[in-house]
Amino acid sequence: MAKTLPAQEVTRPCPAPAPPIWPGAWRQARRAVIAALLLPWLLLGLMGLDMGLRGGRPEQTAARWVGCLGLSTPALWPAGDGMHYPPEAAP
Amino acid sequence: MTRFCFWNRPLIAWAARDLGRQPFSALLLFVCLALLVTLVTLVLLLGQSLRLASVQWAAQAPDLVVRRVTPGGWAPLPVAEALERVQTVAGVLRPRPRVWGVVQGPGGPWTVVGVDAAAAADWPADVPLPRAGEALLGTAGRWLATAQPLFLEGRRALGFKVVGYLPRSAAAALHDGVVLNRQDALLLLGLAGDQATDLALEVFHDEEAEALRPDLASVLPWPVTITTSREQLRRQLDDIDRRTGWLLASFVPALAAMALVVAALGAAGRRQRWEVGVLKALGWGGGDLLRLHLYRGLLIAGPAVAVGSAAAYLLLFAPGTTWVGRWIFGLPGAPLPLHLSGQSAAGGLLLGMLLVALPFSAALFWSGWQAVIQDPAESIAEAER
Repeated sequence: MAKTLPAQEVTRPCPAPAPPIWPGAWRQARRAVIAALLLPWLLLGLMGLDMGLRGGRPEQTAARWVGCLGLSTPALWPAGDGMHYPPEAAP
Repeated sequence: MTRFCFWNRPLIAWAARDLGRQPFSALLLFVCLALLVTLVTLVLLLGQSLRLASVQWAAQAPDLVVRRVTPGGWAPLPVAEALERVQTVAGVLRPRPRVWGVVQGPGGPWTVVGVDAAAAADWPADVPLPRAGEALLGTAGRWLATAQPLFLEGRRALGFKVVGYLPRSAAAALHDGVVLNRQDALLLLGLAGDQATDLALEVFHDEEAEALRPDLASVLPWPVTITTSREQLRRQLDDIDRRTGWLLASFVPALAAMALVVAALGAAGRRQRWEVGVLKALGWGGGDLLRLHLYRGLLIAGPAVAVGSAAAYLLLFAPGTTWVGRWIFGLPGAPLPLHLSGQSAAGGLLLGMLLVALPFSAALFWSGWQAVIQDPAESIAEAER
C-alpha cells in the first residue's frame, strides 16, 4: 500500500529549474568563450615550456664552436668588416 | 547579502553572442591588437636576446688576441718567437697561434679557419676534423654538393674535397666560412710554416686581460695590437644597439595604432548607447551593463594579446630564423639561420603584453563607463536623432 504524504509536504513548491545558460543555439558562443579563456593560457604555457626546455641551449651550441675554432667574433659580423682584423688587408 | 563577482556566466554568454553579431569588427580589433603586441614585443625582445647570445658566445672566445702590425697594416706573426716571448709573461695561459683569413670562394668571400691536431681534443665526434686536402663548410656552404670540389683563391688557388658541414645550430659561430687543415690554410693564405695570423691567449681572471696588455706589448719585439674579449664584446653590443635602436621608432606607429583602436572603441561605445539605453529601460543594472561591455572587450583582447606574444616569440626564437641576419645585420648571400632561445624573455613578453593591454583596458572601461552613466531616455533619443 502506498505511503500517504502529509498535505504540507505534497503542496511544497518545487524549485523552478534554472534556465540553461547555454541552450542549443548558443553552442557556438560557448565554444568561443572556452577558446578565448583557454587559448591565452595554452600559448603562455607553451612559451614557458619552450623557455624551460630550450633556454640557453641553442646559443651554447654556437658558443662551443666559437671555443672550438678559437673565434673572436660571431658570424653576425662577417670577416672583413670593422669588427674583424685585418679589415683592409686580409692575408 | 549578495557577494559581488566579476565573472557572470550568463553575461559572458551574452557578450560572446553579441560579438557574433558584428564578427568583422571583432576580427578587425583582434588583428589590430595582435599585430600591436607582436610589434612591441619584437622590439623589446630582439636587442635583449641578441645581447644575451653575444655574451654567451664571447665567453668562449679567447681572452686576448695579439696581432702584429706594420705601417702597412697587418703582418704575419713568427710563431716560435712570439710563443717564447709571450710565455715569459706571468698570467698568460694557453697561448696558441691562429691561422685564418679571407679568401675568394664560390659566391663571394669566405673566411678560412685553419685547425690542427691540437683542436681534436675538443672537437665534436659527429663532425669530421678536416685533414690535408679536405674542407668542412659553414652553414652558408650547405648549397654546395659534397661531390664537387671546393675551389678557393687566396694567395694561390686550391681545390678541396668537402667532407661535411658545420651543424646548423653552429651558424652563429661560422656561417660563410670554411675549416681547413692548418697546413692547407697556411698555403692558401700565403703564410710560411712558422707563421700565423695572430696569437690567442687565455688568462685566469677576465680582469687580468686588461692589466697584461702593456706587459705583452713590451716583451714582443714588433708593434702589436692587443684586443681583449671584453673590448670585442663591447663593440658587438654597441653594434647590436645601433642596429636595433631604430626599431624603437616603430613604437610611434604602434602608439598611433593604439590611439586608433581606442578611438574606434569610443565610436563603438557611442553606437552602443542606444542598446544600453534600451537594456537599462528593460531593467538592467549599470554594473551588469558595464560587465557586459568589459566581457566583450576581454573576450577579444585576451586571445589577441596571447596570439601576438606567441607570434613575436615564434618569429624570434623559432630555430633557423633568417630575417635577423638579413634585415637587421644586412648580411648578403645565403641566409644565416640563427638559433636563439627565449631565455630571460619572460620579462619582455610580459612588458609587451602590458604596454598594449593596459591602455586598451583603460579605454574599454572608460567607453563602457560613459555609456552606462548616461540617462537611458537620453541614450535612446540621442541615437535616434
